[in-house]
Amino acid sequence: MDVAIVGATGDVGRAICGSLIERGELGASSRLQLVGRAGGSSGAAVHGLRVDLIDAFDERAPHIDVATRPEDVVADVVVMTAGRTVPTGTGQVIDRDALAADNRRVFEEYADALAAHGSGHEVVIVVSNPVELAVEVFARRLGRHRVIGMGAWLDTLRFRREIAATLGIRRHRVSGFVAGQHGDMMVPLWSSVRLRGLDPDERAEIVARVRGERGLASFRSEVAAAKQRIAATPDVAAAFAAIDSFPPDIQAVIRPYLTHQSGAKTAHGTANATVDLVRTVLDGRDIVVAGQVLLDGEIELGGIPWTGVLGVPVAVGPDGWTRVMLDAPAADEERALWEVAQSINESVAAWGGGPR
Amino acid sequence: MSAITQRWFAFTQVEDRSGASAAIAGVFSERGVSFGSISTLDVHGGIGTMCVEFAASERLAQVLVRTLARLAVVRAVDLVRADDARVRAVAVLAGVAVDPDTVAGVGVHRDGELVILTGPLPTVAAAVADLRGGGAAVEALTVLPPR
Repeated sequence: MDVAIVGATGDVGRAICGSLIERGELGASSRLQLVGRAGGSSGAAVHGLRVDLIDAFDERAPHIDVATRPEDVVADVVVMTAGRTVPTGTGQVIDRDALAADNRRVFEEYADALAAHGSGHEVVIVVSNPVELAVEVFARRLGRHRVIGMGAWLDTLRFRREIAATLGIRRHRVSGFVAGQHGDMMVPLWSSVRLRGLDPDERAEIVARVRGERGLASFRSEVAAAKQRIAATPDVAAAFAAIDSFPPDIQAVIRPYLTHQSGAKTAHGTANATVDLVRTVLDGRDIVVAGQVLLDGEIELGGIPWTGVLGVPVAVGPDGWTRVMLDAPAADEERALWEVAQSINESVAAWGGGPR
Repeated sequence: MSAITQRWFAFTQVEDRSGASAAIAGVFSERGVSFGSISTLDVHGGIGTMCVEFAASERLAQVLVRTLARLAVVRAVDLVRADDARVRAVAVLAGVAVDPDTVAGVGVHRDGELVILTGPLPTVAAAVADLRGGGAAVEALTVLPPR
């Protein structure tokens, strides 16, 4: 199986390339395609990146190929990391509208090329932001089930990690999903949290203790208050330490936010979550993950079958996602999802998405 | 052959270096496509032409060719349907008991015990089948790029 990384020379793209090879996800007869933009700095840098990867991983590297035109993207799995990124650094404001305006053209260019020249079976994993817009653009052109945004999976891994850290256990002993919109407007599905080795009543007691007497109605205001507190703590080390006092779902939002504000990036966490999804697709088995997908009535929100992009738990296999696995969300979760889903649809429409 | 699956030849210009054949084979085996035949044609100036015969749908054939073309060792790929009239073939046979000069549309050349047939692939293939039925041994049947 072949994997193309569109935007391979970016921080996340590079980390994905390295991780895919290091983790042995691509066999010797597979091909890793590094995609840059002709005429841009990445168009030259992809050639250098190819040599660098071969230098680093010659013993285990797959075939490494370079492409600089959208029509030359050829792979079974296409990872979309191209486009402008969210700025890092203290006080940087994230303007998702500007990001959408810049990146929509990039998304459309690659989606149109894949629709025209592709095999008809590529699975696209979207990393670029706004992930909801990118998923919408690719899904309208390639088919809904072949396009998965990785934001909800990244949020899910962060949520699990924060719960695990609070309990003093490792992440792989925690399951549970985050739905909604990637970032501040994620919806932590506390009702889906499971702790390996515990009976339901034991688990319920522990989850209630970890979560506290809080519902999702206050989640947004808690996130806003946490951001204010972090902003009022100029020492970064102290700010990171302060995050440890927040509940796990707030930590899952604020810790990566502060990582970005610190001037560092979240390239490795993002890459790891992306490689997880790539492996799931390559693996050939249906596995439940969370991802942003374009829904067409698979779930009901606000009493109506919902249409639009939303992060939800989905079964993912070699042909993309097959089923939504949102089983009986709690009332506050359903309410929060409905509000977020409406907000996403309004944003996507404002950004020029929607049916063509 | 089903209505969807057809026979194809991929004439592939490949750099003459170690691992080239393995890379090509990997593209097909990763997608579960078996070679009907594979042969090396001319090798000159560091470039060889390989002819790969396989059966696949048109969509899958295009995927295979686009994927082959992305390999570092591959310079160019020309995909041709097996029933394309431009595809020609050469067959070398021994022990031909009958006079093959009468086979319509096939050039016949003799080299001692060997008989060499040239012409459009379907015609050559039909002649080879007839002669094999008459006891001839087929030493080689090579498909040539379209002209």
